[in-house]
Amino acid sequence: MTDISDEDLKVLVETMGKALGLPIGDDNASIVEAHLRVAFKMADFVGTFPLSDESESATVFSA
Amino acid sequence: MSFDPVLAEAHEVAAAVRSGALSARAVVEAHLARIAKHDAKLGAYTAVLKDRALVQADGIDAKRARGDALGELAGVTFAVKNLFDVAGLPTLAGSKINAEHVPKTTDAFLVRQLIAQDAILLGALNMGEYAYDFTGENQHYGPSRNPHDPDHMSGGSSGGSGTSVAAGMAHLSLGSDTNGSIRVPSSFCGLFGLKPTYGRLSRGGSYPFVASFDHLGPLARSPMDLALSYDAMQGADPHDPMQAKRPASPVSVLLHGGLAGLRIASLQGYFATGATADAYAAVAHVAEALGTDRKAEILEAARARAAAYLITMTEGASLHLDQLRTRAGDYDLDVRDRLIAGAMVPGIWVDRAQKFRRWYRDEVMKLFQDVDVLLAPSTPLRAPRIGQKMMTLDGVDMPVRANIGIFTQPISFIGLPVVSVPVWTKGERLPIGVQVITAPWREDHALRVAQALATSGACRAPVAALD
Repeated sequence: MTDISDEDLKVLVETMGKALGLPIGDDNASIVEAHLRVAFKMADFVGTFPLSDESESATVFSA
Repeated sequence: MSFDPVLAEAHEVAAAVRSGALSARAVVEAHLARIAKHDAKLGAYTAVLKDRALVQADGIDAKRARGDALGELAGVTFAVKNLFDVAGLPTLAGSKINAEHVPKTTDAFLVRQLIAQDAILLGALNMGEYAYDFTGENQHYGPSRNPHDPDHMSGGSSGGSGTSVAAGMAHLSLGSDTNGSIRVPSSFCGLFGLKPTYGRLSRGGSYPFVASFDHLGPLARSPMDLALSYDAMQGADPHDPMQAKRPASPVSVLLHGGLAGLRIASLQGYFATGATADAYAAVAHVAEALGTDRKAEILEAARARAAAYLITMTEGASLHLDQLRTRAGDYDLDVRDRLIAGAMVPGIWVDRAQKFRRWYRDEVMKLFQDVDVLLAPSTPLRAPRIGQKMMTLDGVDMPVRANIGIFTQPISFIGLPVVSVPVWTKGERLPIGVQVITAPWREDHALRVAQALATSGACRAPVAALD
């Protein structure tokens, strides 16, 4: 996923912006793309951790 | 009066007010004068409640004159990050948009708990917009500055909470900590800061950021002041559904228990790489003062930080989505575009992050079978200059704003209690903090360690010398 090209990322941000009704324009598109690329990197890192199929989510969390 | 009520610690002031050696009004007037003199430059407060504070002070003095018992925090001044509800004020949460909100009619739960012990609310404090910040900077209200060197950051997002206490403009402050926002300003401003166990203190009456990570807690100039305020704030609140159903567990009576029986280790691996030498020297200083050379390692901490990053940006985006559609131009630009990116993160990534979170929590709990206390840097560096965008850590250039919390995020990710303790190095103008981390619900262990460090002089939190 981190291999996504700059052009594909630009299209993704533009399309998602339209789908979600979020303001993407010349003033912020490249910044949003940069933040999303960092998120991709983080997601790749988390996603490669081997979890069992039975893993439970911590969505409702208690320490 | 044998001491200056501005320079004295909270517990000393409370004792003086209870004994009649000092009036609550004198305490408040001294603080209001200091705020009037210095806050225009430091930017800690967004609202000063002069009349309310004086009325409350007079009420406390009248109680004492009648012979009524006074609370544990009698005459102690405090202020709160402006994401706490305060009667008569809109809850800004550092934003321009929330300034249009209707003023609140009641105080947040924790504010009421402190006032019930006769602490006096001085006002609301500046913060990074919507708590998505580690710097203490704010495009709408200006930066909260570091009192020990105003050209440098206070740290965030509870920036005003750090500035106010370090500047002697309040004895205590309350902050919130989602990914490090109590521990970072504690580190940069040289304070003791407590992030309790997730679910311990009610968040009722506070503006959220990332509900599954949000904690509230105090910043102070001594471990005893943290303990007294923490004890006062415990208690059940039906308005926070995530508050743990546990009885109050007072810690101030345990504070002088010493280090006997505590197994203390410095964290290696992730927590011992990628920071400045200052950060590691601070951990070594604390370990030496505690007489320990034991080491421990939390596996997969880097991945925990990555998972926290993903959950933060998506939960934050979810909270702000509607407002981003209609008021995007009114956001701090540094905050807005991260939230917009967070709205585009696929749900499967967040699910993976939440599943990893449970695995990681279980692994860290195993570590606490062999140790009671873990030490790690609070921040990878001393406070950067205000406006600084990039920093170099371990030879790598990286953005300041996103990376100040690299050592705090893997800990709050699983809700562990932490006291950040301040370390001063000879010749350095700015302090740096060390995290004292314990197992869930063992705030007493962290505070005992902090007290031992304060008693030995290894850690201290002086009021800044202001011009």
